[in-house]
Amino acid sequence: MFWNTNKTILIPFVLVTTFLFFLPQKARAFFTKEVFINSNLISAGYWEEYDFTTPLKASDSVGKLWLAGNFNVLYDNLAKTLSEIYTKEEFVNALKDSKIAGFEIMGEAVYTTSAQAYVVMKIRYADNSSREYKTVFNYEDGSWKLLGTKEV
Amino acid sequence: MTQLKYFGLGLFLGILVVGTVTAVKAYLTKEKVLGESVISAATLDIATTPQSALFYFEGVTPGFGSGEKKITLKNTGTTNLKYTISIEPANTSDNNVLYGALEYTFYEYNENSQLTKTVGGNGALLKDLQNVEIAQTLNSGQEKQLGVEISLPQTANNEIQGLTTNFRIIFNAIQEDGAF
Repeated sequence: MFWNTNKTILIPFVLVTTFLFFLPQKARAFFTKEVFINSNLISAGYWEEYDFTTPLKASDSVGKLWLAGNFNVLYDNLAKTLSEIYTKEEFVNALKDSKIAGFEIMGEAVYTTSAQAYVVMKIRYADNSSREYKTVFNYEDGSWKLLGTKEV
Repeated sequence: MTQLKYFGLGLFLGILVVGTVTAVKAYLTKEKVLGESVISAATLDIATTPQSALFYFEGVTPGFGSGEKKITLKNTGTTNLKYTISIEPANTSDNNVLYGALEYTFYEYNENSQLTKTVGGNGALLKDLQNVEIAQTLNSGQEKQLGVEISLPQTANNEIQGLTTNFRIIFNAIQEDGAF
């Protein structure tokens, strides 16, 4: 009864109070600010010794690193010729899915020059297949660095 | 015509009521500006100490712990605020397995430097520290300390040897009555 009598005045009253009170609350944007503490750095050291002092020990280290998927350290032990082609990131990304199931050193190191040698490695894959690779090393800066591999 | 007059009267009364309430509210809160204008008149600002390089550790190995590093947060604006903390790698290449292996514990202190909250710990990964809302608000001019500790678990595998990660700590502040 009251509504019917006064709806002409009540409707605009309700509308305008609702609009002025609540709409700004819903529509307003809050002040925000982001601050940063930049340049935080953590770098991991090395806690497992990998021996690259002879071609034979170097091939064993290559096998262990490959088996562990530790291509960062493997990259650090590449011959310059190879490391100049790829960045560490490219190298790691290229090999990250090529993990192996095991390896075996086949025989002794063969020296082609005083600064280059190869060792044949038998690589076993997850499907139990295996392949043999001639793993070539260059003697650089006091240790034997991986130059490349070629399937035998 | 009469109905139009009543309609206009309704509008006028509505504006009058809202205006009166806002003016009274402004008077009672001793603000010199009205209603929503209070917010636009305020400033929201926050500062951290240090501003960079809270963590700088080279050659870390499994079992590494940074120890608790303190951050001082100051509300340098004129409005009270609340905030969240997040971590993100500085570049895509920093989002590596080392970054993924780091763990954190986060400590919140009150103005009396008493520990009020611990977040993370128990193997919580740093990469998962995203938009963690800090329980306490920071009033205008107020200063509080937070603590962050980063660790590398004993179980970290050899894969992360020689890796480096750069990351930033982000504080996202919003006015006290805002919503993230």
